[in-house]
Amino acid sequence: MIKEIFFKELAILLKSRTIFFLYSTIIILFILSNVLNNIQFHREKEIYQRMTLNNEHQLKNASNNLSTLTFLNQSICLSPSEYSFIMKSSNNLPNIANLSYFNLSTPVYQFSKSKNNYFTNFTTIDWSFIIIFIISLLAIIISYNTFSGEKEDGTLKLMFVSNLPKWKILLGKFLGILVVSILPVIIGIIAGILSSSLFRDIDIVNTMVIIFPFVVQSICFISINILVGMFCSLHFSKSVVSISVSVVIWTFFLFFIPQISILSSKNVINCPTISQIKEDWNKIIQEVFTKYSMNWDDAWIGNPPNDGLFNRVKAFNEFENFQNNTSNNLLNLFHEQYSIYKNISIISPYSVFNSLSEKIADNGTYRLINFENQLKSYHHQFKEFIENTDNADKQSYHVIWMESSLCPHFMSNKSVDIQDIPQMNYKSPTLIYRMFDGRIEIIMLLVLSILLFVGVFFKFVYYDPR
Amino acid sequence: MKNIKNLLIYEFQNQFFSYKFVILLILSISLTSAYTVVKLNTFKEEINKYNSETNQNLKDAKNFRVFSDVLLPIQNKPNPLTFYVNGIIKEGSRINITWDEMPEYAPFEQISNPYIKTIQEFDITKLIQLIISIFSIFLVATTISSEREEHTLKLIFSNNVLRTEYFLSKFIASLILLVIVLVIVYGIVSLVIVLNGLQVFTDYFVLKSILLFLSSIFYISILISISLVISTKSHQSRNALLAGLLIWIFLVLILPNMVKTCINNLYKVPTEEMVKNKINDFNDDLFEKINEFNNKNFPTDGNIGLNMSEGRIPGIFEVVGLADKNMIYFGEKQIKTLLPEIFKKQSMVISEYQDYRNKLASQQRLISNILFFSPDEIFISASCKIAGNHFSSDIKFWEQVYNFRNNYISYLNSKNAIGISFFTQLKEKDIKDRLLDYSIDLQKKYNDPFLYPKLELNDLPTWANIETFSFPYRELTLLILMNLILLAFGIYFFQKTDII
Repeated sequence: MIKEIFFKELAILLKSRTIFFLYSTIIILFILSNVLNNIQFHREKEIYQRMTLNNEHQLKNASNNLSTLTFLNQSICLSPSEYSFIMKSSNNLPNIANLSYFNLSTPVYQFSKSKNNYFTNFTTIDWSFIIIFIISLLAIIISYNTFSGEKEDGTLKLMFVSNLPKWKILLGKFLGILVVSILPVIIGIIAGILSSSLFRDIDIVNTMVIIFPFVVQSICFISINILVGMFCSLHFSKSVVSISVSVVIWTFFLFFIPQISILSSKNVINCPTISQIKEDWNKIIQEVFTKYSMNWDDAWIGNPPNDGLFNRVKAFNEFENFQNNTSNNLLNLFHEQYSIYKNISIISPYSVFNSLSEKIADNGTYRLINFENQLKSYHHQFKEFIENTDNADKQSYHVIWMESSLCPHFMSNKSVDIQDIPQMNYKSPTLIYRMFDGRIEIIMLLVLSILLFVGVFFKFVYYDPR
Repeated sequence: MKNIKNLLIYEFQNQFFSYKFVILLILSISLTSAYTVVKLNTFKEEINKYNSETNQNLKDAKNFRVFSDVLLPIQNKPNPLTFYVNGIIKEGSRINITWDEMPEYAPFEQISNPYIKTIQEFDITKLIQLIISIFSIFLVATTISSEREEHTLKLIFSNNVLRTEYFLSKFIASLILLVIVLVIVYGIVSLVIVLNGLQVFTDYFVLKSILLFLSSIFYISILISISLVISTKSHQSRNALLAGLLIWIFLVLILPNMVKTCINNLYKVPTEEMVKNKINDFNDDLFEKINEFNNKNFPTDGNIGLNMSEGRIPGIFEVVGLADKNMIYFGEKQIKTLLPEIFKKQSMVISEYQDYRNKLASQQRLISNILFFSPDEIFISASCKIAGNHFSSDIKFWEQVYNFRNNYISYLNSKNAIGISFFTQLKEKDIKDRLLDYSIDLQKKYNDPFLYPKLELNDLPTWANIETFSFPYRELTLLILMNLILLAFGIYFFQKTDII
């Protein structure tokens, strides 16, 4: 009997003209997003390859001399994600970091000038955008009058009169609506992959492995929306009221909670401004100049370093420490703000879906934070490498500080083999690891959908069809 | 039109006490107050920075010792209208006009959290676009169809009520209701601005905010008349809601984003790299030309250094003169002939940048031409124009900046500064002395530019903050036209439809 209810629900929904219209627009959107994302991907990859080639070239040139290698400013670029069509990273997300022996800059967005600044209000369309904004509303639109509509028409009574167990009616209806709202997603995903396979070679097996969890989580997410609509239709006898309440819930969780969490996170933790940092910097300069005598006449080139030189080194190290500390502090504050934003917005299934698809596609802020961690470990490695090769050289005095004109006289100047220099390439974590990172989101989605299903079930058991 | 007053009052009461209106009020008040608190902090920081930097500029202006030191700063005034619309995002707040620096914003001036940029910057227009618009459709789309469902429509029209007056009363009542919300939203923001005394930073602040308010009313009234048309057409109120939602999704979410992504990828704009390559070509050209010139006229006097580092337009090394270290390359004659040549090349490079900027703007202009029927896009561009954040006002601003630079150069010309005195206060004879004599005393005397007496420059060209406001004629006429057409359309439709 479940089958019959299921097919009846399907048939009613698929017949209507608005659904057909929505289906076609959604599928066109999927194809369009894939085609456009491919163009973007090629452009970004070109830039990435050029940057990395340039970097390798610089490293090769600098390998003649260890001192030039220590003062070399590498600009390390983050490669664009292969699966950016699932979840595109937002505009102007940082993707380049400058790294030298002495400091590691916070990543910045380097191609800001290649993007049009005059674009206002611009979000790129990707799969998660389509599902979050459009499919979720579609699910609500389909499900808001499952019970209240039939109650108004009087057909619900007929269904209750027949000797069916109630859970079978509920399950049949639920599955019918779920299939109707999932169908355009699956067709769209297949069409999207086919259209992007026209532009580049896609490893079908790997993409299927990536897409499977995405489909599963979108089923979970859509069922949450459907259950919200069903709950409203059970609670309110009029279908007008039920749809307006469910859309109010939709706007509340989609727009209100993320905005409020952003605003509150910015309000709770205050970041220092540029002017404050500049003031501190000026103070440090004055302090250091009074503390150490920076007179260069005391030190001379080539001989074993004396006290005058060590004073100079100490002063420079203090500047360096200040710079590193301020950038680290700032980064930590940013991370704290971000974690507060994440913690508040986890109430909303829409943000949960967003962050989980970020993790599945390995893109966006998740990729950025991974990149930062890998950069840190690489910086450590690079530092160790230079210190070790310097220590191995008997002619150097092993004094390294941040003054490019003088430091080379006191450190090793031997050439280095290129293959010994550690190089940085972004390694994206495996899918299992990424899913493990997204465990909280997965649990959140599952728990919400189960809770809502139980709620709807109990509401339905005590439902008055009159 | 006798009954319109009673109808209006009835309609107004009916909608004012509905739960949807209460929810809308609560949502919009809480969002605006949270937003203004955060925005106020960042804006006050901007003001502090502006004040301290303008003070510093005044001090610096008295300390020039050579003409190549002269630096004319352009300081952007903080704009309190950004509370309403963010508009285009400026990359900094200060531009330095010097003889060899590119007139661009100094990079990395602002720190903002890169991780929370993921969702767009929020402002009052966003609130109106995303939340108030959907609620206005919700409030209005059911009004006529629900009365049809409850068969009260029959009762009303049996009492000698004109159809137009019924329709108009519905329209006006819902418009008043939403205007109340808008008044509260705008009231909170403008009160915060006025109480903190921030309105001083723009001229005619009150008039401009009233214009902004008016344009948002026009925008909302378009949505109201669209949903009234839907409501007259549909026999069930749930269908009316559905159709309203679909139209909202299409107008606000799908259409603008689709057009923008398409144009961003398909209508190609030169990247900055291409512009930079062109500038490098200019540099090479200039270098060759100067070498040729040198070999021809001054075969014995030596080489020339060209400044090619980033953020600079081609100029000679500052070591040309004596303001810097121990090198002397040029005499009076050379500088007098070379510098004008360099200034000419520089203006070519700058015009290249201007072209690039115009092309970027043409992309956005194409979008706004394609989307001329989308009330969303019109509303945003109207409010940006009023607030002075529109891309066209940005282009006007840059033109002004380049003009200012030209003024600067003509000022140098008028002072007869182009010559050896551009880099140093020494005479040519002293330089020749110095070339021969490397004694420490002489070096100390000539090398330290801080020993020169200060220049007395009282008539330096000053930057006047230009008016970025432009009256949105096109947008406002489009909005009003759309309003009138939709209203006439709705009344016409309502005459023809069945009451039952």
